[in-house]
Amino acid sequence: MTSFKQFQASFKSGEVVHFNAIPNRARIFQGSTAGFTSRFISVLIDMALIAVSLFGAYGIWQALRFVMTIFYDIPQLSGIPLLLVGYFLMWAYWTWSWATGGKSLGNVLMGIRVQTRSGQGLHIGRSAARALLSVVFPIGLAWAIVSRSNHSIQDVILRTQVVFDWTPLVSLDEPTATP
Amino acid sequence: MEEEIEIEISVPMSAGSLYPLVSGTVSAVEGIVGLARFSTETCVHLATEASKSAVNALLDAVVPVAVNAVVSRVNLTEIVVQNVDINTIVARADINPILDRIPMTEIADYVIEEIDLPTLVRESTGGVADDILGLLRFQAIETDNFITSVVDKVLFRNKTQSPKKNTELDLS
Repeated sequence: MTSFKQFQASFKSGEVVHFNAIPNRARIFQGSTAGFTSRFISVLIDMALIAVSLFGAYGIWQALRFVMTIFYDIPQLSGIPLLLVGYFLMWAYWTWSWATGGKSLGNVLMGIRVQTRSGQGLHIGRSAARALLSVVFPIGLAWAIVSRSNHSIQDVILRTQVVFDWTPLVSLDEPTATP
Repeated sequence: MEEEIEIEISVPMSAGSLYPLVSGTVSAVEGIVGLARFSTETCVHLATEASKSAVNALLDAVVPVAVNAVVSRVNLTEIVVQNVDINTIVARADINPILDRIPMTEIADYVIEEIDLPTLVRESTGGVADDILGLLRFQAIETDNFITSVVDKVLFRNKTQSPKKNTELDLS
C-alpha cells in the first residue's frame, strides 16, 4: 500500500501517469527470461499462423484456377516447393515482428518479447539473423531447457534473450508506472 | 466749550505711548504661556510615549512567557472541541480556494492505481478469451518451473536464483 504522499513524490505534477496494465500476479515475472514451454508454444502459434496463411493462399489460388480456367490459363503451382515458401514466410515474419517491437503473434499471446541482453529492441540485421537461425535450426530452442538463464542456441550466438512482457502492444521506450 | 482745557497729566508717558508697552507685555505673556503650554504638552507626550514603549516592551517580554505558561497547562484542543462548534466554522469556510489547492488529478491517479482499476476493468470486460490466455501463460510458466526443477535434479544443480522459480503461483 503506497500512501498518497509516496505516490505523489514518484511523479512530477502535470505528468501523464501510465498505469501498469499488467495483472498483479504476473508482475513478478515481468522482465525475467521466459522458459522453454512459453517459447515453444509461441513458436507453434507462429508456425500455425504461417501454415494457415500459406495453405489459405494456396487454396485461394487453386480455387481461382478452377473457376477462371475457362477464360485464362492460370499456371500450376506444382513447380514451387510449398515448404520452402513456408520457411521464407516464417523467416520474413519473424524478422519483421522482432525488429518492430520484438513480438510476433505467438509472442504476444504468450506474453513474451525478444530483446537484446541489455533490454533494447532488436535491429533489423540481428532480427534477420535470429529469424534465419530459428528457421534453419529450430531445435536450438531446446537449449533453453538446459540453460540456466533460459537461452536458446540462437540467444547464445546473437546475445539476445526472451523475457516476459505482458504489457499490451506498446513501444519499448514507453514509460510505465511502477510506484 | 470753546476754551481749550489743557490738562497736564504728570505722567511720564502719555496714554498713547502706553499702548506699545501693554501690547508688548501681553504678547510677551502670551509667548511665555504658549511656551509653557508647548513644553508641558511635549513633556506629557514624551512621557506618555516613553511609558507606552516601556509597557509594550514589558508586555512583549512577559506576555509570550505568560501565555505559554498558561497554554502549556491547559489542553487547548480539548477546550476547543468542547466549546467550539467546529461544524459551524467549517460550514462557514469558503470551500472553493481549498478545492483549488487540492491536486484532484493526482488523487484520481492515486486512487486508480491503488484500487488497481486497470485490472478491474480488464476483469469486468476482458471476458473468457483473456482468462484462457492468462491460464495458458501461467500453465506454460508452471510447466517451465517443473522442467527446470527436473533438469536441476538431473544435472545436480542448485536452485537458480530467478524470481519465478522461488515464487508460488497463485492460479486462483
